Amino acid sequence: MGKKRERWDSRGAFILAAIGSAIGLGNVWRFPYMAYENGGGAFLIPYFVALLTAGIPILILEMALGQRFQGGAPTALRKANKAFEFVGWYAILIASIVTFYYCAIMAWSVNYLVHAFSMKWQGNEEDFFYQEILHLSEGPGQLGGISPALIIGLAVTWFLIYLCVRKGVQSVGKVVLVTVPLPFLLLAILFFRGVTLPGAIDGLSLYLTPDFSKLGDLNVWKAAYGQIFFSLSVGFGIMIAYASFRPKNADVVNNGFITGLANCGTSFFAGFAVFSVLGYMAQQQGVPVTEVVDSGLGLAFVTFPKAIALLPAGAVAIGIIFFLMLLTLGIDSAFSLVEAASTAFSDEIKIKRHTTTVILCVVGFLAGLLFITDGGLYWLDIVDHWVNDYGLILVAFLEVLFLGWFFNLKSLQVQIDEVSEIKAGMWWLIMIKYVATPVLAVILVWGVINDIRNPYGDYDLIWRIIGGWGLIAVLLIASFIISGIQSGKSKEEVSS
Amino acid sequence: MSVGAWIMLAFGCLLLYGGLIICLFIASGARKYTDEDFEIEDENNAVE
Repeated sequence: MGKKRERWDSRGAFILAAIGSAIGLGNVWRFPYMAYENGGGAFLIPYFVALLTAGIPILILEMALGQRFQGGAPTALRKANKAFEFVGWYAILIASIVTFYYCAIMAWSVNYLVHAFSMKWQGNEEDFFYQEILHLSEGPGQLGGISPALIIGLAVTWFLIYLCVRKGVQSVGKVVLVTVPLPFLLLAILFFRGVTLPGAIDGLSLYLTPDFSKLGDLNVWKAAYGQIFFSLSVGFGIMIAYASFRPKNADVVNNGFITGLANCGTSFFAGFAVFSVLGYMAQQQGVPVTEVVDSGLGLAFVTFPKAIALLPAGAVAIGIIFFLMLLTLGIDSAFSLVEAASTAFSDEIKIKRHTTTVILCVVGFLAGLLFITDGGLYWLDIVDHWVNDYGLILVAFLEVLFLGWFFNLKSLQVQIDEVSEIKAGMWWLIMIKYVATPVLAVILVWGVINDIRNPYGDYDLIWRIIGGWGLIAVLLIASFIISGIQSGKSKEEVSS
Repeated sequence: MSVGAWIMLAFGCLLLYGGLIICLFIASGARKYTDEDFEIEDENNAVE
């Protein structure tokens, strides 16, 4: 009996979903700071080079793989070569771990959105975040309790994710029509409010003034490539899964360019909203902008609320808009991670898609509880560092290494060139084999050496092993085991 | 803002948004997929 594969309603739905997946919280809280720290406007040069030489080529590779082999990451990689299947499973396991803590951050955002109506953080932003919201303990060893408000926030987040992915790409295709344009609209409101504030120009000047001497620093180039890899949603199997629901004769290359450019354009735009508000905040406090610049969780949950509280008018509205934007930015990325896992499991284990989705949402909620305990922030910090800096980079490295050097990539290039509006040609082959592969290897080795010399954070070795090295090693072993079980099953099916 | 900052602003806008507009323009003139494309695909990919 034939089983029809789900399909996207339209090309637009696919592109929106891919853009929504790529654009996430990191575009707002990571890129602007990276640019500021690595040469200001001059950072755009290595950033754009990294996008064209590694980011977009890997996006195209993942989209081409999914479209050609019509399966999630493990299926597609196995069809390319049986030995590659474990990389697909590793990508899915990494994606699952990221979803667990990503949803915890969204649970905090849900809480902040509720408190934005009363600006409850006003005058006490730091304590509000670390004490009232997180109930932060002394260290990762002290998990303590879980705040009921965060449990509700996490449940709401997972319920929203379930609603988005419950009918696979059919529901995702409809949801992205709202969840992708909405954060852009909210970001645009923040941008216009930001640039019309006094002092905004000082912030923007800090963001854009180029320091070309930084271009000679290898760390700046590493930061640019790292930022590109982290922000494009490559290495999670998302683009492979999404593209597997496209027909084989659909465009690949132009879709990769549109997704990559839209993602980086959003990061660049977000920098204006962030730095204009920081410029205003610095002026109000009578300090240089450099003293208020922040990134990551600190920017989103401490610095920005502080800046919002200082606004001359419309602070409540801007607070609501900001946290609603964080939620809508995060939801596409979160459900794309679930969708990647759901596609992989339903393709391979032949469980109904809806059942797989429900199981993943329940497991995700339960696993996410760790990250909303009193010690959850420490665990989030440890797991995020190792999973992103090593797990994700390792997946991307193995992908380009195996497919670039141990697979007939030329045949894939010929195939995508036949169906694409822009031809990938030799550029793509060269970038995958001779740029992306060595760059990822360097980033990986560089990171390991750096971590050995200067251990990450102030954490005891035991926590760095459990939540860091141990976790990524266990996930790698698990991916070999799952892949072995699956190939065993395939042999049994063939022999029977 | 310094002249350098304005130049980098123009550089970023030109490359990122200019590039995006060109790609979207190319996509807008692309062949539209019909139901037939999907049906052929589904037949090819049917799992026995």
